[in-house]
Amino acid sequence: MDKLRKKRLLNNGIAIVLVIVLYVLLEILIRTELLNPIGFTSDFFKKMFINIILAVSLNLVTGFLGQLSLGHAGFMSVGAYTAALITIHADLPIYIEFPLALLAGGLMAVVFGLIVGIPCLRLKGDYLAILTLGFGEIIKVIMTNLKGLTNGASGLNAIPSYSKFGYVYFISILTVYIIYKFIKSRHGRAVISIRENEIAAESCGVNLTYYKLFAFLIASFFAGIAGGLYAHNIGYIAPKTFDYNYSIEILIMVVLGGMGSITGSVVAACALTIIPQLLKYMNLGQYQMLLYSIILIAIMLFRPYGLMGKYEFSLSKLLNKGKRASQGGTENE
Amino acid sequence: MNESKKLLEINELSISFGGLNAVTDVNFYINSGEIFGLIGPNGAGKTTLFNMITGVYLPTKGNVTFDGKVVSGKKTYQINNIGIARTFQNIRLFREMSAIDNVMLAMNKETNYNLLQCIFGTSKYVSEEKKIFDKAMKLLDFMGIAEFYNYKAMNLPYGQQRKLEIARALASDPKLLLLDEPAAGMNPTETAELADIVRKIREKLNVTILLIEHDMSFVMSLCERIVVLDYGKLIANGTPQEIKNNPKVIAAYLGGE
Repeated sequence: MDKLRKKRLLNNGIAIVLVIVLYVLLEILIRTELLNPIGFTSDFFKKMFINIILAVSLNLVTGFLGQLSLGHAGFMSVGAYTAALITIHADLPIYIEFPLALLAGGLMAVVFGLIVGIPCLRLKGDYLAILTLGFGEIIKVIMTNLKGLTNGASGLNAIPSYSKFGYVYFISILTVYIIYKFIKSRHGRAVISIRENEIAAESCGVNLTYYKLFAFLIASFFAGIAGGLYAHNIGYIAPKTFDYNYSIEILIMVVLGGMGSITGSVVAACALTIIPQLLKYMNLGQYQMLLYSIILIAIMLFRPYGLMGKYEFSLSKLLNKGKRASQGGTENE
Repeated sequence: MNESKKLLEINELSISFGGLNAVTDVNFYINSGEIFGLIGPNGAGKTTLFNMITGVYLPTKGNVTFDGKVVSGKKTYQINNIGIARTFQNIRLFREMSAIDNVMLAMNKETNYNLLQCIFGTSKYVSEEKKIFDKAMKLLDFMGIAEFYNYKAMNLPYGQQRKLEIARALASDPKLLLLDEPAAGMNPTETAELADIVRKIREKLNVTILLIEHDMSFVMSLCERIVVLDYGKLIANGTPQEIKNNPKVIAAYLGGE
């Protein structure tokens, strides 16, 4: 027992060190502007880590719970507007204002998640897909018409650029960690069991509505946070920023990476941020959509379960390679 | 005295789908500690009865009482929480989950930690997870499939999948276990082994068992009492000996005048 504990601490230690090393490396890259000619600027890296938050949180609903959600950008929009309005109008020091704004953005997304989720997650079937699809569009219309608050179609600008790379990076790592832990816990087992077989899950004592809503709200929360980070990165948001196409782009990341693999979502989010940028650099930007389709078709043909399938990268397994892996429950991200 | 306590009572239970009366006015009861058989030709309404007991279907008339309380109208997961667990005719495992996770899932209600505790990996989280892991291992061992604990459920051979489903049902500490054709697709050796397991579940774990089965030698040798359904109606109720000699039952199975 004590040995296991020590091992876990060691693994956690190594994971934390790796996270920090990666941060330092990326920060150096950004500061020295080494890759700026290719377009890998700090904005680019921030966008990449925001995409990771979005893909991993959507994977919770689509990959692990098995419900299709087509309005992830809608929740992002709610979070972005909420957070932006707070930082524009409030007059607090940044270290209070920014976390507060992000949290408020996340919570507001949860409120909207409840409104969408309660009616349709009580039902069996694909109602969530239909309702979230509508929700994404409705939010766009609401944001356009609430002119007094959101400045209508021209959007909010002059949002303070609080999203330093460090914030985005560590919030994104934290998101991945929390969702990973969630999946490995009893709650995660309940969520996965619903995907596997609703009838059996319910007769094993799983409250279907509760767990569906639970997973959906966690995903909404992180989408809201990602929205807040996005708004404070670009400094400008408009209703059309968070349209249907953005929702689908996030969904593509999830499907491409593998539904039910957090590792896959992370990899796919990185890849699908890097590829368009490289295309733009090579002056092939107009072929982006063409390439997306080809990649998707290729994935569906050769790896129908996505790049990673349901595989999960595990540091402790990697460290134990050669040795016999110890009994379950000690894995780390 | 405890032996003759009524655990499950089916009162005037009926259900119809549109114009079809799938189950009509069925009455019987099961005593605590019994192994009880439910038989009948295909389409007699046996699985429908199971679905009404476990809350999947809402009966159009009558009710089910368990331990003195009416359970009809409760949700399926609530009925599981008060002590009725079941297996399915066509195996319904969580195919992508490991065998041990299948069993651990069914212990959700007795696992006591919240989201924050698992995010921070507190000692409460670790000890609770270990507690149910050990308990799940014991159950797998009880069913004789402990060596497969880390296999995905879908990769287990058919017979082991059946056993895993029983282990999962037992994980929620039920007082009553409903087995829907547990011996389907098994060879005689496996069937005999299953009969031993069912007896062991009753003796060691104190669980009352209601089972649907078509394998007559299995039912007749195992069950203390049997009811027979035909076209949704209860046509016989008694000991295996009485059932065997009941002309109505023979007519239902073989066709009569």
